Amino acid sequence: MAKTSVTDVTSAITVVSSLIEYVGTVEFPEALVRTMQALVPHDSSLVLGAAKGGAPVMLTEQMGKEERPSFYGPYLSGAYMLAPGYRTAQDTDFSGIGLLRDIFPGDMKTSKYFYAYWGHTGMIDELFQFVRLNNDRVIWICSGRYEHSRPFRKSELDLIGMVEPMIRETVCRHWNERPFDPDDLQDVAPDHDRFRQSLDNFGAGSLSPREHEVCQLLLRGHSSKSAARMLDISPETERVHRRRVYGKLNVSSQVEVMTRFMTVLTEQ
Amino acid sequence: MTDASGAIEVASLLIARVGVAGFSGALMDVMTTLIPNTVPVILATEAKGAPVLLASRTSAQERISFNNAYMGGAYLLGPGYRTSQDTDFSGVCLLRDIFPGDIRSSRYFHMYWDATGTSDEMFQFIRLDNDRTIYISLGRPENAPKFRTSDIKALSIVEPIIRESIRSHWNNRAFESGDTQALMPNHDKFRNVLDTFGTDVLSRREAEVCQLLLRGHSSKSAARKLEISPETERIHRRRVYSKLYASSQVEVMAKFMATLVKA
Repeated sequence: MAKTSVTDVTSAITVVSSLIEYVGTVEFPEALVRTMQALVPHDSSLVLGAAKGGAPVMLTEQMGKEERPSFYGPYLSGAYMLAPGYRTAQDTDFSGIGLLRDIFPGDMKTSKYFYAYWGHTGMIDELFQFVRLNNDRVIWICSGRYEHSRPFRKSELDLIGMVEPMIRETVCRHWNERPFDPDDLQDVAPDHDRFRQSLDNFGAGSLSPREHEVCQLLLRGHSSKSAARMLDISPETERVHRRRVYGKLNVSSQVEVMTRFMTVLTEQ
Repeated sequence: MTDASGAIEVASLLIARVGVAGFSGALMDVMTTLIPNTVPVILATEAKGAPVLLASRTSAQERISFNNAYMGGAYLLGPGYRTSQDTDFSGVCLLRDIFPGDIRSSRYFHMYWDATGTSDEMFQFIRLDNDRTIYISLGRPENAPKFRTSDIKALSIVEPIIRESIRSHWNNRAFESGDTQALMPNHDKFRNVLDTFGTDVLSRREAEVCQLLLRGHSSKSAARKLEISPETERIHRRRVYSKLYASSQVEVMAKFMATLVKA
């Protein structure tokens, strides 16, 4: 993790302004990562894009060597379908800066288990910026910190929050008129439609429609409380459905449901 | 507008217009939102070239005076043009920062530069590649208050956003004026008139002093430039006045403008 960082708004503005000249050039994605790194130092950078309902496209990455195999492995092999970044990109129209705890719908303790499945084993904190492009496309920039670093501080969030409009407009200006161009076809998920179908149909053979809805939410990380809010039912009722889901799928926890889903994806 | 995040939000909108038709209009919108109650004029020059009017929000009446006076040659003496040519200053400043003389006399000079009653003026200078420069003037109308420190702060904080957007937009683009009248066919002739003004009657030292007083320098600042005492400068200055049949700095300027028109 880079040690130096900017601490005042004036320097932050200067740093982000130097990104403007890269708009429309092939170096833009890397320059974007450099800019984020200078604003809030971190260990892992990832810029992803997706069309509405589409697979994530990796636009650039600079991640640790421990994280990389799991990104190109489990994540692009379908785990992205449940990841909070991808879900926020697809299920909401949120635009701006958020930490994992802001976009993760469940208990943060659960997120640790989830991270294990996404392969981000050593990740302790992750900062996201979502940028909405034209034609229902979205970009999300992920800046992650590993175990040996510290979580993001409020002062860091405030600082990046100040220059968020500059990053947003620069990213829009670059990608609005440009297709997402991965360097390598490996960087997109070719089985996306199959993944989507597996997710939509997961457990549908044995679950009632209501249980199926609950199952979809718990796959996405929702706690009982937040799933209940989504479905407009009481947490107690949610827990009843949830226990039936566990029983019918022969599992004993939310994390196990998730494992089950990942197994289904891999077996196909 | 003094709130930094508000200013950033406003200036960021300019980024969306880089390389797009309507950039100048967006630039003027951003400038007047950041610094309200101003009339923006965007000018550009190549190295040693004439100014090109890229866009402005002056009234029709002001535009006529601007074309006649400023574009009629007075730009050669204007602090904006002079700063773009004689220095490599980049950033935001007020008229009083770049006007070399007593700022009280700048009002009289304004009458000659652009024939407007502008009460105060703020500038941003942007250096492009290949010795090209853009300078933006934000003029306060006659009865409006002068700029305050908070005004210059509001523009200074987002100066890098505006600078880099402008550089991205114009670095690989020709300067095109919407108004062909605003192009300067006589620039070389004007430069020649300025360089040789009074040289038929003035000594070499007097001609140097005359060049500085045409640019608005006070005795003090001209003396500093020439590395002589203000008293000595005043002696030269009086000789210049008398040889040119003028009784003040402003009259010397008026003489110069008259020579330009006849040239």
